[in-house]
Amino acid sequence: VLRLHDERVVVAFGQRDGIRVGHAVLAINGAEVNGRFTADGKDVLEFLGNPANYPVSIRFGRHRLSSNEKLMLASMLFAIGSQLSPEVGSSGIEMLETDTFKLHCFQTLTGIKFVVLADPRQAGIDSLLRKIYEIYSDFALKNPFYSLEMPIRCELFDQNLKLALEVAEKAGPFGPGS
Amino acid sequence: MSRPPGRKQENHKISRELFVLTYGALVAQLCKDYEKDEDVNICLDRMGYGIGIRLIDDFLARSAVKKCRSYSETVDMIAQVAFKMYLGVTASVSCSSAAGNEFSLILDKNPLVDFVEELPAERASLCYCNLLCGVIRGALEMVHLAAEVTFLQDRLKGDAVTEIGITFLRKAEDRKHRRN
Repeated sequence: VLRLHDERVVVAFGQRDGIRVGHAVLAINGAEVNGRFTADGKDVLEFLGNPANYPVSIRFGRHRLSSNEKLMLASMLFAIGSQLSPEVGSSGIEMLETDTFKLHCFQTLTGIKFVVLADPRQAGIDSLLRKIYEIYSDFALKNPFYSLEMPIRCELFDQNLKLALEVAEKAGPFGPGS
Repeated sequence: MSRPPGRKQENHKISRELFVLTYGALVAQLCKDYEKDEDVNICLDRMGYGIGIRLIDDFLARSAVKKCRSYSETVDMIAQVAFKMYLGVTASVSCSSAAGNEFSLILDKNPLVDFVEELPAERASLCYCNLLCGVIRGALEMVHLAAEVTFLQDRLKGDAVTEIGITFLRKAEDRKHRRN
């Protein structure tokens, strides 16, 4: 059972074959959809409701968050965190735990927030966060062509970040593949 | 990857002579570009500011210091830890106002001027190390402390000591606390 949600066509009910509730329609007949419209501009629900278009192959999956959405969610999270605190002058959210993931946050004295989403069993995230701070201060800040507060598009930063993530994954108690 | 993970950068030091020469070349070029000493000073301060806003995160990341709870703790941190880390020297601190927001850093040794004895006559009001003031100002601003940083005394100008004055202005965070 499909319905429209947030400009995307998502599964409302009827989980099966690895397709879960909440999964969005990602592609129809091999062509990626654009929100609620197919690649050639037709409305997805209309298209799927018309038997003349069958057989049809649909790819489902988790909708990937855009950078903008990530930024919005992150700032909402931190605004809520600092306002909910019963104590004055709380530093903000440090860790958020769910059954499927753990969100770790490290806030610097300059107000930068580093957020890592990891497997709940993954260890060593604290030192990973500090390592990421070092990598940021080296390869982003020391790059004279990087402007503060802008998205980081520095090759060296990405490379070293990837390396640090690999090291952290191997160090965790459950090995790579979290 | 050929490099082992977690490589330390400590063994990649550049020579101090190169740094001092580079700084000297910078000041010399600015003197050619600007006639007035005041313009050179402003330029040096601005450059220093640009360095300070980036250097602060490097300092915090590497020194892992805790948040300072007072102006005097902050100035001590600058004089003892930061100066040591970046210039290899420490400065002594004194508080020069009853309000507790004006401080002085006395620099006994200043590596930047190791090879400069005194200013030329036509550059009498040049603050040779004004870059340092900008760095301190920029760094403080990034941790939400507005301050004015200037040279109060300068050995290059014939004073007895080299003294940097830091005056903390109204803290931006005060407004945030009142909202709570």
